[in-house]
Parts: sequence; C-alpha cells; structure tokens
Amino acid sequence: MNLLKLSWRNITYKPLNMALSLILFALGIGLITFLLLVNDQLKENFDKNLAEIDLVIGAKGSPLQMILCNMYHIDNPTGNISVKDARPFLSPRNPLIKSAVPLSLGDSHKGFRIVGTNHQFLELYKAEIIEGELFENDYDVNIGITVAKDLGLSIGSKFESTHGFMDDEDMGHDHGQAFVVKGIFAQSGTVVDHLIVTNTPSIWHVHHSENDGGNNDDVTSQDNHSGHDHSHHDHSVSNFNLLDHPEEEITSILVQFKNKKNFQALSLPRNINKNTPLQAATPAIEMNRLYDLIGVGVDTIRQLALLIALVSGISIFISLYNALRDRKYELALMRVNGASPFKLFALILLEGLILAVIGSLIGMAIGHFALGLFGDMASERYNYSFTVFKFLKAEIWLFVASLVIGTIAALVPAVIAYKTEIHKTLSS
Amino acid sequence: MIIGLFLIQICKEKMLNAKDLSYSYDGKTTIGFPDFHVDQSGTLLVLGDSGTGKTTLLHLLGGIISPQKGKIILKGEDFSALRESALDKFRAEHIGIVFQEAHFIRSINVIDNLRFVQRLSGDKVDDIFINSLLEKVGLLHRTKHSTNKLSQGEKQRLNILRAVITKPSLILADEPTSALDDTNCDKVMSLLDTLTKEVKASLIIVTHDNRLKERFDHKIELS
Repeated sequence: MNLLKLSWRNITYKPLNMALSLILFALGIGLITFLLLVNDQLKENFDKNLAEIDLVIGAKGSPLQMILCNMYHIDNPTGNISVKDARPFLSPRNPLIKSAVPLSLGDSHKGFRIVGTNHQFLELYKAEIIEGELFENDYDVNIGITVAKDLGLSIGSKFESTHGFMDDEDMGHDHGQAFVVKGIFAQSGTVVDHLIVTNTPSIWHVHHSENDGGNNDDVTSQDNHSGHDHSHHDHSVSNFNLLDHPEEEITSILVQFKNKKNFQALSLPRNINKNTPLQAATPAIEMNRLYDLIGVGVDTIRQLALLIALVSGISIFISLYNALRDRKYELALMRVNGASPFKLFALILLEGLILAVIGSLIGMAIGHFALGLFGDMASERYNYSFTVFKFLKAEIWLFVASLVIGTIAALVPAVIAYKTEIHKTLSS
Repeated sequence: MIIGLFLIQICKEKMLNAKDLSYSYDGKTTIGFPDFHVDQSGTLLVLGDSGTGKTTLLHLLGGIISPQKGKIILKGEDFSALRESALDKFRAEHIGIVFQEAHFIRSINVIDNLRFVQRLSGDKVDDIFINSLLEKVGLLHRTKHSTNKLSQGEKQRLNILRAVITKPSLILADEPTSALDDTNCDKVMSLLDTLTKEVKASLIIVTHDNRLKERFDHKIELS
C-alpha cells in the first residue's frame, strides 16, 4: 500500500464526489479539445483546398459566397457568367495567368455536387485516378472516393443528375441520357473526394435538354453555336475549346497567376470588379475574413470552456477540502504512525493530480468522440472529412495545463494536511 | 556534566525513563508529572481523573508533543529533544499507540490498514506476521473487509493490533477499557497483555478505570 494506491482508494471511496468532479473537469477539457481539433482540421482542410488558387472570378454577389461555393463547394453560386465576358481570363494568351479553370455548377446527384470543368481542375487538386480512366466525352464522369463509397458507385455505373444541390427527386433532370462513371479518384483529403467531375458541355447538355423538354433532337434550335450543335456529337475534352462557345455560360473561373507578386496581377481583382460585369475575389483574403467571423464564436466557446475548466478546478478543490475535514483524524493517525508532513501533502496533491489526469484523459476522449459525430455531420453537409485519430501537440499542452489546474486545486488542501496538528486533532 | 552522563547510563538500563516532565499549553498553566520508569517488557498503569493530564502525558510519551521541560528516554535515547522529522521516524519505529476511539483509514480494508502502518514505520510489509496476529485476534476472516463493516469489538481488537504490528518497544494505551463491561474489559486487557508479550514490548496504560488497579503492580496516580 503506497501513497499512490492510497490516493486512488481515497478518491474512489466516495464515488459520487469523484464522479461530479470528473464530469465537470472532463467536460471542460472535452470542449477545449473539440475546439482545438475542429479549428486545426478545419484550417487544414481549408488550406488544402486553397490549391494555390490565386483568384476566383464569377458573377457579382457576395465574394465570400463565391469562394465558398467554387472552392469549398459549401454554398450556392452567386450566378453565372458568360464565356464572352470571361474570355480575356480564359485565354491562354493572357500574360498574367498561368492557368484558368472554368467551373460549371448547379447540379448534383444524391447530395454530391457535379462540377463541369476540364482536366486542369484535377491538376489543381492533384487528384489521381485509382480506378478507371479520366473523363473524356460528354456524360463521362469521374467521382471522388467518398461519392463512390457512399453511393456504391463503380466503373460503368449510370445515374441522372438533379437540379440544385439538395437530394430532391422532384428536381431531377429529365434529359434522357445518364452520366456514366468512367473513373474514381484516389482519396486526397480535398473537396474532390466529395465531387462528381465531368466536362463542361455535359452540364450545358443537361440544362439545354431540360429547356427543350428533354427532346435532344430539338437542341439545335437553342444550342446552335458557332455553326454546330451539341446534340449531334460529343465534345471530347481534348478537342473542346471553351472559347469557341462565347454565348454559353459558366459559373466561375479558378485562376493561378504566373507571378503572384506581379503588380498587375495584384491589381487585377480590383480592375475586374470595377470595369467588368464580373466579380473577382482572392481566396486568402476571403478566408481570413471568414476566420475572423468564425473566430469570434470560437473565442467565446473557448472562453466558456476555460470557465468550465476553472469551475471544475474549484470543484476538485471543494471535493478535496471536504474530504480533508472528514479525514482529519485519519491524517493525524498517519502522522502518529510515522508519516511525515510532506507525505500528507503529497497524498492530497496526488489525489488532485489523479483527478486531473483521469478528467483530462476522459475529456480528450470526449473531444475526439465529439469530433467523430461532428465529422459525420460535416462530411454530409460541408464536404469535409474530419479524422478522429489525429492528435495535436496542443493536446499535450492541454494535458499539462489540466495537471496544473489539478495541482493548484489540491494545493490548499495539501497545505492544510501538511499542517495537521496531531495533538489537537487527537485530543478533539 | 559527569552527573548527566551518569544519569543517562542509568536510564539506558531501563526501557523508558521519564524525568522532571512538565508541559504547558498556554505558557501559563503548567502540568507537572512525577518521575517514573518502565522496565524492558514491563508494565505501568497511569491512573487519573479527567483534567489531570492523562492524555497530555500519553501524547508526551508517544512523541506527539514535546515537553517544555524534562526528559523522556526510551531505549537510551532522549526522544523529547529530537527534531520533528527524526521524531516521526523514532515514533514509527519504537512506539505503538492504542487510541481510545478506534479510527482507521476508511478507504482501505483491514489488512491494508496494517500493511500501511508497517510501511510507514520503514519496515517491509510482513503478511505472514500480519496474518498470524489477525488469526490470533480472530480477524483473519475479515482481512479484505472495510473497517466500517467491523463490529465495535472487532474494531477495538484491530486498534490494538495496529499498535503492535510494527513490533515497537513501547505500547501506549489510552483508556482501552473505559467504555466496556467487565467481561469485555477482561478480554481487551488479556489481548493487550498477549500481544504486548508477543512483540516483547513494554506497556503503559493511561486510564481512569479503577478496575485495572489490581492488574498492575507498577502504577502512578495523577492528581
């Protein structure tokens, strides 16, 4: 029977007191852990999805909404832009632009968004095919690994799209031709995991067919451009040139500059916003704005968590202090039997530390478990994956901080135990 | 100086020797005690009514408080002059105290209470010795039980057992029989006698229970 064992027995002797202290402590630590994990993984996910994109050009509206929609795929588009207006930025001859990737959004399949684009989009996110091949012709799609798993799709699977981003059967397109899965992307931890990617004309087809009441034979009447119509041939990705379709619309362009520090490149967003019907937004600026907005809430919750941790520290103090009054005679007996004052001090301190260690470990487990629950919800709603098994350095500091709280909470009772007056206690 | 050394030499032949003892609680009222000694394996009964300083004497002899004046020499060492840490060690090694009320560490069971006392005294835990004594006092079947579950009689036996478990040189008992009827008084005294002899310790009983007078040859009365 050493001091550590005795401390443990003392704590478990009154389980209700221990449980109350532990629950409070674990809740505080759990909440802080959860916030740390969400903050870290959210930032990591956001950063990963930045994909070195310097500028997003789209329809006028909320710049943050445009970024969230076109880069993170968690909001609705601000509108569409015409290829004609976008031509200067899509042109390979633009001296400022290294790559300009067009996006056409607006459709989905069972909640997963369909993106009409070209192969450059995959280069942005470094997406690689692990099964099948890259999309080439109209209605060919490549799907993210999460899409494949969740919907049970494999190579050759066919499906029809739905208008909008909700899983609503009433909004289904009736264009008579199904998308065919040609390839599945390897897991990348980016939004691509949650996307269905096809070529731009496929999106046009779906909408034009819709406008024509699903009769593909009539597409030419509305879809006749530059001397040809979409219904009579496929637009293979390698042959397709977006600039040949100035009357068509896309949702946005993801732009990478040749030189990020070039003065003209830096002033391009302002020029676009001022002089064109388009809107340009810089992802880094908009995301920082978002962090600031979220940060206020996060800070409030963090302060609340710290308050809970503080209250739980006080609860440990009260629990130990009451136990001390109850065990005054026991402590005096220990002194009579040879325990030094320091041993009594250590005994009480150990009790505080044990409570803090168990409380913080349970709290961290709660934090990770809560992230798992939140992750499932976030994965469905925000196209983000959260991992429960990622541990942060900050958690070590949190553990150390909880030990400090436990020590401080136990300090006063420990000093009282240290000063136990054997004679007075035994005489009373 | 020479007389002092001579006195210490004489004291060494006794297990315990108390000389010129006095203690003051508030610096004004001083309680004085008569000189006495106890031989190796000897016994002493200290009788006195309430307020005569019985408990104070027990605490002085137990090294719980130190006298303002006088000496208490146990096994040749004046422990009343020891510093706190040395006194803690000395007390744990040489003195066992049976308190009037049987209190234990409630969070641990019967055998762990005894083991813990052995450990605090600096001894190795000796389960064979502990179990043999538990068997002797009829508590072997209670080893794993909480001390809260023991009857008053069992608690008193364990109380006595705890005082002898470290094989001390001196056992002090504070009113061990005051609240007991004659039958139980006999039982407790018999147990104290047996266990004290088992560990070859000297025994001092501090009490106001006059029934014990006849049992002791060597006694002092406080007034």
